[in-house]
Amino acid sequence: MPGVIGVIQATETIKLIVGQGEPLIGRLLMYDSLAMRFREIRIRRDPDCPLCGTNPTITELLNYEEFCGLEVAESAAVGN
Amino acid sequence: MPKTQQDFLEEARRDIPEVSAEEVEARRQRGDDFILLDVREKDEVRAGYIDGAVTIPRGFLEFQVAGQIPNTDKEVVVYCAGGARSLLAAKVLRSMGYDRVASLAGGITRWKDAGYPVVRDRQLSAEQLERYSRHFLLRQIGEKGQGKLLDAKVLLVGAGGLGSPSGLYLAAAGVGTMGIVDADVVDLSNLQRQVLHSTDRIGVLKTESAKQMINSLNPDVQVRLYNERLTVDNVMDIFRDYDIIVDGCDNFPTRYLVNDAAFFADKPVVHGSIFQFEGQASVFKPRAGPCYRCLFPTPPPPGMVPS
Repeated sequence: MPGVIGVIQATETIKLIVGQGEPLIGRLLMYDSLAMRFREIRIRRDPDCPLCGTNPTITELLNYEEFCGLEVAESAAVGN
Repeated sequence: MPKTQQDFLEEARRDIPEVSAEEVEARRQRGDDFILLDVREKDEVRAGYIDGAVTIPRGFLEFQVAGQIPNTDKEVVVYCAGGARSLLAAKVLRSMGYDRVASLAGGITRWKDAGYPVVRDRQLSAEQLERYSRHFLLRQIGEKGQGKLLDAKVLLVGAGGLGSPSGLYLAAAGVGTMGIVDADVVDLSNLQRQVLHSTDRIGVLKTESAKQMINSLNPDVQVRLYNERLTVDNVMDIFRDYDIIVDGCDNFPTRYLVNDAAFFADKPVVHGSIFQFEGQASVFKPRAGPCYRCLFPTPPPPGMVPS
């Protein structure tokens, strides 16, 4: 399973390096290996994106464990 | 009466206009829409060619020109070393329906004498010419593209399920410098899918294992190892040295870290992710398109999706 996606990643990387073909910028390729089907959806820059939007609120790196709720979960598990 | 070489050239001159190096350069400066076609042999081209030229050795002209210049309405200026082969080649093009064709008088020799620039691609060794020969059959790559691959620096974040296939194929293609970030060691259960590793390297650091596999496949690749997890403290320094980031992350905090750091460092991220039998891929290029956060502004609640 990861094989297909990994090779797609290699292909996209090569295309970016040699500057040929249409890269997957603005497209999300979705692969269902059980159905053996590929699907594609258009994805757009979100003007409200806190990182890359018009009014960014994230201007430096964060605490990503906290952002993903992991620290909270861990401390909950430990019974804090 | 058998033809002499003079006969060939005179016949061609009757049909084919010649243009001077000065005219061609002036038109390039103006941004005119025309194609320069270099019909010299490969070794002559390697020594230097006019930037942007399509290159087809004269021996392959009839067979490759339609693939490289599909539109016969395009204006084509043919050149060679001295201006003789280009006349004959241009005559052949005219007979193939390319009506707007001309030959560069005096060839690239006169071009260089006039002081105009030529470019050279990264020179490939004889072994590299053999190793990457299948790339040269593809016009989208060619020797020029191979030079770009050898000059490229790609960072693999993760040498596991996704990093393995992507790492293998990038190495085979001749990416000149590959960085690999992974803190783990090879485990037996990895080998069901992590094809960069092997049974005899169980217990070895994944980065070391990856380097061994990559260099046995392609010694051209310079592999740099980072036996650590990406954190806010190391990510910007590491990313700085690379052109492209390949996201083979196995957890969400790192995925968001990679996304944000790549945006700040202005590096494209080739994203991939898998879950059971499904997978996704995209390319996040800062400012050219969405980023990971545009797509997934919030991570899944912890525990809902395993890393």
